[in-house]
Amino acid sequence: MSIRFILNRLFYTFIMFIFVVTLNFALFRLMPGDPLTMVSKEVASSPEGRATLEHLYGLDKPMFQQYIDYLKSMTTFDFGISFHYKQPVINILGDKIKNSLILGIAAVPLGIAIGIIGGIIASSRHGKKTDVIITTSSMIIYAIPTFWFAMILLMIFGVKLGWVPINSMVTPGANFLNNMEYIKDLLHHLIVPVISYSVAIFGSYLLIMRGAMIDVFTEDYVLTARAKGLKEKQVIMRHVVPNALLPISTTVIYSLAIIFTGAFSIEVLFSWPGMGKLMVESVNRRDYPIMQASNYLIAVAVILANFIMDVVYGYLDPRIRIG
Amino acid sequence: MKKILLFVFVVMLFAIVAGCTSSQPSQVKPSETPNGSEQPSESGKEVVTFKYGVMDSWPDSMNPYLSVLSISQTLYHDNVYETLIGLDQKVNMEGRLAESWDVSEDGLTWTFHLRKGVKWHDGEDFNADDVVFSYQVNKDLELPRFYSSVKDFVEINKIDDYTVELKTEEAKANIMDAMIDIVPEHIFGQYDTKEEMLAFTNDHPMGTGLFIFVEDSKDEYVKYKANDQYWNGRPVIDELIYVCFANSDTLIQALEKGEIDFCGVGAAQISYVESLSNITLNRFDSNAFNELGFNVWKDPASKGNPLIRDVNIRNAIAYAIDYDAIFEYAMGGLASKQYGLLPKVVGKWSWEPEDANKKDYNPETAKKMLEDAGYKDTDGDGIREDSKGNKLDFRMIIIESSYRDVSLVVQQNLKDIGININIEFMDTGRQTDIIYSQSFDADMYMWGWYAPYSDPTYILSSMTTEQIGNLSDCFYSNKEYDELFELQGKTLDEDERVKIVHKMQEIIYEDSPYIILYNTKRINAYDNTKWENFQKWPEWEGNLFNYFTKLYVSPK
Repeated sequence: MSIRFILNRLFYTFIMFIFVVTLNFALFRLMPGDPLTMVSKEVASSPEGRATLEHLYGLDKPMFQQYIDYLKSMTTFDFGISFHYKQPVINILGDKIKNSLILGIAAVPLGIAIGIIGGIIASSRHGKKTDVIITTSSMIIYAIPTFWFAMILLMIFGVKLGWVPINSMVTPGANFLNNMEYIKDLLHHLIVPVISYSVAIFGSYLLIMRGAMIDVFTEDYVLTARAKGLKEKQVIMRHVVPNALLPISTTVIYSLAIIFTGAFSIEVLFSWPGMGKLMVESVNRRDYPIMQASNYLIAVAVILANFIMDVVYGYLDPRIRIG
Repeated sequence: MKKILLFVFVVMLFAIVAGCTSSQPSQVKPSETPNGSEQPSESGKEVVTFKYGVMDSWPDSMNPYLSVLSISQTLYHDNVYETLIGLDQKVNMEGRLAESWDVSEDGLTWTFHLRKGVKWHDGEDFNADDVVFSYQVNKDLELPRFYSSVKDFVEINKIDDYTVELKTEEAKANIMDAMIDIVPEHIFGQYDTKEEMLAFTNDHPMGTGLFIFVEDSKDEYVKYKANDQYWNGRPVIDELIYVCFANSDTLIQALEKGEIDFCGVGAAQISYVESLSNITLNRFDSNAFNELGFNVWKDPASKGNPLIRDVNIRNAIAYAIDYDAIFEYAMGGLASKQYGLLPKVVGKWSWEPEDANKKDYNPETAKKMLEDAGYKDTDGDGIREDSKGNKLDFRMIIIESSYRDVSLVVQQNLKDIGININIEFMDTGRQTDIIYSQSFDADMYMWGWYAPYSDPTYILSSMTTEQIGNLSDCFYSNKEYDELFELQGKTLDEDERVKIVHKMQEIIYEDSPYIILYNTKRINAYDNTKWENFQKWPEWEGNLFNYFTKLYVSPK
C-alpha cells in the first residue's frame, strides 16, 4: 500500500475535521432559545444574577472570542464548564461515556455476532425453510420499536416475575460490601437492556451478511471450490464468509466507533445514565459545552473510523486503493 | 455444518433469555456497612430507607447559590440547608434557624434571634457569622439564585453571636422572599472572589438541615442519612434516597415492584395505578398554573395585532373557552379551575371573583360581548370583523410538547364565536426567543408559572411595567396595578397587604392580559402497606412530599 494513498486519505480527513468542528460551534448557537432565557421562569431571576451566570458561561464575550476559546478547548480536550451541571464538562462526560460503554460493549458485539451468524445460516440455506424462518422472524423483531419490546421484557421479567430490576445501572444508594457484589448487581441490571439493545441492532447485520453471502455464492470461485470437491462447510467457511465479511466490516467498524455514544431509547427507558440520554437532555437545556464536546467526540470517532476503514479496506481489497 | 450453526444460533438466543433466570434477585440490603465513621444505626437494627422516584431533569448545581432550577431545591438544598424562617403546614411563618424575629416601628429593621445549640453537620456551631456571611456574599457577588432576595438590604449586621439585623431603605413586607439558604461560613468563606465562588461546585454539601448528604451519582441518585442532631427532632427514617427516572412507565413499575416507595403519577398512568391495591394516591392542586397570554404591548414597536389590545375581545375569549373540556380531555383530569394569579394552595393570598363576576364558559355571553363591541361577521365567512373590516384573526404560538391538546380545544372554542386562530407549534426555546426578544411577533401564547408558596411578590411582579423586558411575558402595563404593587411591598400589616394583593388580582382578572386556563393538579403515589404518617403541605390541599413528611414519615 502506498504512502501516497494514506496521505491522500489523511488530507481529506483533515478537511472534514475542520469543517465538522466549525459546524459544531455554529449549529447550537443558531438554535432558538439560549441557556439563560430557557430557565428564566424557574427562579425569581434578577438581571444582575443573570449577568453573573452569563459571565460564568463566558457568554458575555464577543462571538469571535467564544469561537477562539472553543477551538482551544477542543484541541486541549478541556471542554469548559457545563451550563447545566456547572462543573467541568470532562467530569460529566467521563462518567457517562463509561456507563454507555458498559452497556455498548455488552450489547453491540453480541448483536453483531448474532446478526452475522444468523446471516450465515440463512444464506447457506437460501430459499429453504430455515432461511425463511430466520429472515422473517428477524425482520419482524427488527421492525418492533425498541422501547416497546424492552417495555414488554420489563413487564414480564421485571414486574410479573420479578427476576430483574426495573431501573438504573446499579441499585441506587446501595452499599456494596466488595467489588464482586457491585459487579453482580451491575450484571443483574444489564440483562434486559443488553437483550433489548442487541435485539434492536442484530437485524441489520443479519440482512447485510445474508445479502453479501448470497452474492458471493454466485461467484465463479465458489463454483470452482465446489467443483474441486470441497465440502459445503469448507466452501462456506474458507471462501464465502471471508469475502462476504468485506461489506459488513464497514458497518461493524462504524458501530464500534460510536459505541460510547449510547443508545438513546434504551438509556431513557432504563434510566441508564449514559451518553445518549445526556445528549438529548443537553439539547433541551441548551447546554452548549456538553453538546459541543459530545458532538466533537463523535465526530472524531467517526472521522477516525472512516480513515481506518479506508485504509483497512484498501488493504483488504486492492481494487479500492488502485481505483 | 448448517445444523451446527443453527444450533449455535439457537443456543445464543437461549443463553440470553436464560440470563434472566440465572441471577436470582440479589437485592442488596441498604446500608449494611455504614458510610464514614458515624453509624446510621446501632446494634444491627434494620435501616429504614425511603426512596423517592423522581421524573425530572437532574439538578443543575450543588452550590445553593448557583443553581437556578427548582428541582435542585428538592433533591439537594432543601434537605441540607435551612432558612431563618420557614412555613408551617398552614403556610404561616415559623422559625427555623431563627427562633424569633421582630421588625422595628418604622419597618426598616428586621432583627432575627437565632436558635442556639444548632450544629453544622461537621460538628461546628452555627451562629450569627454564618447568617451575616450568607446574606453578604449573595449581595456582594450578585450570585444568581438569591441576588433578588437580598438586594434590598442596605445593612447586614451582627449584633451578637445569636442576633442578626437586616436593614432596608424602604419597609419590606415580603420578608419571606428574603429567606435564603444559610451556608457555613467556614466552608463557603474560603471562596472570596466571584470567580472562586462560581467555580465552587460544592460536591459534598454540608448544612444544618434534617438530612446529611452521603453521596450522589449524577443522573442516577442522591443519598442522605438522617441528622441525629437535628434541632427539631431526628427524622424517623434513617436514609432518604432520590432515584432518577427517565421514563414514566418504568417509574410506575418500580413503585409497583417496591423498588421505590413514593413518586408522582402522570395522566397516562392514573387508571393503572388506581388498579393497584397497595398504592394510595393523593391528588392535589399545585402551585403551578397555565395561562392563555395575550401580547398586550402598547409600545409602537409592538408587533401584536392591535385588536387583541381590546379588552372586550379578551373577555369574550374568556367566556368562550370550555374549561371543563380542557380539564377533562386535554389534561386527562389533572387540572382544576384557578381565577386569580395566585393558586388556592398559597392560602390567604389566593383570590376568587364573586360568582356573578366569574367568566365561566358561556359562548352566548361571549358572542353578545363581541356583538356589543361592534364585531360582526358581515361577509359570512364565519369570522367577525371590526367596523373597518379587520378580521378577528390571530396568531397563537404554542409549545407543542406542553399545550398541543389545550390549544386545539381553545382554537375550536374560539372558532365557535367567530374568532379565527392560527396555531404555530414550536419548542420552548423558540417560544422563549419570540417572547423575550423584545419583538414579540405573535398575538397569543400559552405558558405557565410556579407561584412560590412563601410570598406573592414574584408572581405579582410579572405583570408590572418594570418587568417588560425581564419577567413579563404579556408586556402588560397598568399604572394602578404598578402603584398597588409598590404599596403591597411596603405594607407590613398582613391583613392590609392581603387586601391589596386581592385587589391586584381583581384588576388582572377584569383586564384579562392573561386568561388562566387551569391549575395543574398533581398526584402522589405511595405504598400503603409499607408507609404511614405522611403530612400534607399545605394541610388543606397538599403535596405529600415536604419538610414535615421528611420528618415524620415512618414504616408501618
